[in-house]
Amino acid sequence: MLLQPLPIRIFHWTLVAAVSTLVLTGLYLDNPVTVLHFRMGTVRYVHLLAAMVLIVNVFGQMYYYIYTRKFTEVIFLPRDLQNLRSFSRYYMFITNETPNYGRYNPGQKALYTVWLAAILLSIVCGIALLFPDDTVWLQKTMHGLNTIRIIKYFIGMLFVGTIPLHLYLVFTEDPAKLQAMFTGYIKKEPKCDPAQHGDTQKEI
Amino acid sequence: MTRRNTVTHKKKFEGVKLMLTRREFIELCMSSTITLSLSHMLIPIMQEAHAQMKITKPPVVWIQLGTCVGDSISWDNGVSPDFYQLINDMLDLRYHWSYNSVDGDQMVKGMLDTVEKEAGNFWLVVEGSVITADEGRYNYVFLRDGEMVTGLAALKEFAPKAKHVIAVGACACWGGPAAAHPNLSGSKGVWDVITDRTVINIPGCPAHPDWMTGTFSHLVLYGMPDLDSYNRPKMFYGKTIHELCHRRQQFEDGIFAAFPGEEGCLFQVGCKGPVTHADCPVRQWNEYTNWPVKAGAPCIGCASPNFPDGMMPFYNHLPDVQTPAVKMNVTKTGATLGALAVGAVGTHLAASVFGRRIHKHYVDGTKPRESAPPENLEQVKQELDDLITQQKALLSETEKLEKANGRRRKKSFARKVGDFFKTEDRDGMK
Repeated sequence: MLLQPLPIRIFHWTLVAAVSTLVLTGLYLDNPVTVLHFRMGTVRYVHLLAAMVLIVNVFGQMYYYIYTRKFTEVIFLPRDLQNLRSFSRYYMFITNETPNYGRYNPGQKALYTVWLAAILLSIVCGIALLFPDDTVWLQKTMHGLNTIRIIKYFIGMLFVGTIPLHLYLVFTEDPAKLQAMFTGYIKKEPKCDPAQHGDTQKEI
Repeated sequence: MTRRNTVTHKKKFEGVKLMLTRREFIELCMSSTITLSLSHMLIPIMQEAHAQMKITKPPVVWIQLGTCVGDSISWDNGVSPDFYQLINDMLDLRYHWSYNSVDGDQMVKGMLDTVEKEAGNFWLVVEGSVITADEGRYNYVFLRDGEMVTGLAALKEFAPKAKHVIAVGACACWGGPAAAHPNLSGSKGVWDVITDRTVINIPGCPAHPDWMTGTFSHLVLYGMPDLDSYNRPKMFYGKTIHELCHRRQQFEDGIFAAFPGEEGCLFQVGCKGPVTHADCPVRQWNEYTNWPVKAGAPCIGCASPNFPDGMMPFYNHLPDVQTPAVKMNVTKTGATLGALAVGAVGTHLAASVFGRRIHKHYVDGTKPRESAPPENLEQVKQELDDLITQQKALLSETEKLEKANGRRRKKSFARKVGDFFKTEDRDGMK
C-alpha cells in the first residue's frame, strides 16, 4: 500500500536538509565558535540559501496538502481532541494499542502543526532581521529587533528539542512506517478494497 | 584628506546663496564624510535664512519631567558653535529650567504666557519620562500661584496647544531607564500619554546633539521630517549601527573579541549594534572624537525602543526575559527546557524498554516473508497448526465482543476516570 507518495517524500527530505542546515548555521550565528573560524558572511549566506529552500518547500507543501485536501491528515484540528484520551493512555503505558487514527496520530499532528507555525513565524522574523531598515513597522508590532532575536532563538531551541523526539519515536514506534518514508510503500493491504466501496480518490 | 573635505564643504556652502534644498539638507545630515560638526555647518545656513527673512525663530518651551537632565547636558556639549550661539541663532528658547536666567514666578509666568499667546506656534520639547503613578505626584515641575503642578498635568495642558511635540532622549520617547523594572513610578514615554497627535521621538541616552539640532533645523527650514514607525527621523535612525560599524568587516571575517577592549567585533560580548538604529559610527560623540565600539566597549542599544530592559544584560548577546515573577536568562531557559525534554524522552525510553514495547514494535514491524508451498506431510501439518491457532484467536475475540455487548450501559464520570487508569495485561485482555 502506498503510504507516502513521491511529493510527500520529496518535501520531507528537503525539509530535513533545510531545517538541519538552518538550525546548525543559526546556532553558529548566535554564538560563533571562534575555534572553527568560519567566515560569518559565508555562514549567513548558507543560512539564507537554506532559508530560501525552506520557504519554497513549506509553501509548496502547504499548496500540496490543500490541493489534495490531505491537510486534515497532518494538521491538528478540533476533531482530533476526542482522540487525545486513547492517545494519552497509550503514551502513559496504560494500554498497549492505539485505535486507527489515520496516517498520523494526534501527537504527530500536534507536532507538525507547531512546526508549521514555527516555520511561518521564523520566516517573518527572518525577514525583519534581514532587512532591519525597511521593516520598522514590523519590528514595532513585534516589540523590537531584540525580541525578534529571542523569538528566533526559541524557534531554534524548539527544533533542537523536537527533532530528537521525532527521531526517537520514529525509530521505536513503527519501523514499517519508517521505511515507508524511504520507499513510499508499507507492506499492508487496506482492510476493505477501496474500489468496491466507491472511494475512488487517486493517490497523487 | 580631512582638510580637503572641509574645504570642499566650505566652498559648497559659500556658493549657496539661497537656502539648501531639502534633499541637500538631508544628504548633509546623513553624510559620513563630514569632518566638522553638523551644528557647525547648520548655523551659517540658519543665520543666512534669518537674514533673508525666510524663516522665523520658533518659540520653544523645554520642559523636564522624570529626567537626569542628560539630554540638555548633551545638547550643551556642542562645542563649535556652542550652545548659546545655537539658541540665539536658531531657536527662541523661552523656558528651560536648567538654563533659565531667573527662577520662580517670573519665569513660570513667562512660560505660561508663551503657551497662551503663542498657542499653535510654539514647540514643546519634552525631556524625561512622564511619571504617571499616583496621578503624577512623584514629579512636580513648577509652582503656579503657589500650587505645585505635576509633569503629567503640565504635559497634558501644553501638548494640545503646541505646534510640534518633540520627545528628546530615551526616557521621553519610551520611558527609558526610568521605566525599567519594576517601574514603581509608572514612567511612560510621551507618546504613550499624548496619543492624539504626532510626537517626534529623538531617542538615545543621551541623544546626540546633532540628532537634536538636525531635527530642529529640519523643522525650522522644511517642516516635519520623514519619520519611521517609531516616529524617529529617518535621516538619523535609518540604519542599524551594525551596518555602519567600523568593525563590520571583522564580524564578516569571524574575528571576535572575547573581552571588552580587545581587537575584533564585539558581537560576543553583547554588542547590541545589530538591533539598534542610530548613526553613531559615522557621527561619533564628543565632537567626532570617539564612540563606544571604537573605544572597545559594546553598544548597549541606548537608542532602541526597549532600552534598557530589553537590552540587559549589556555584556550578553541575548537579553534576559522579564516575566511578572522572575527574570529569566534566555540561554539558561533554553538549556533547562532542553534538559527537561531529554529527561522526558529518557523516561519514556526506559519505560518502553522495560515494558517490552520496543520489542513488540520491532517484532510486529518486521514481517516474515511468505513461505513456499509445503513439500511433504510434516510441512502441511505445520500449516494446519498455524491455521488452527489463528482460528482460536478469532473465536476468543468474538466471545469477548459478545460479552462486552451484553454488559453495555452508560458510564458514570467516576467510572470513566477509573477506566482511564485501568491497565490491561500483556495479551490485551481487560
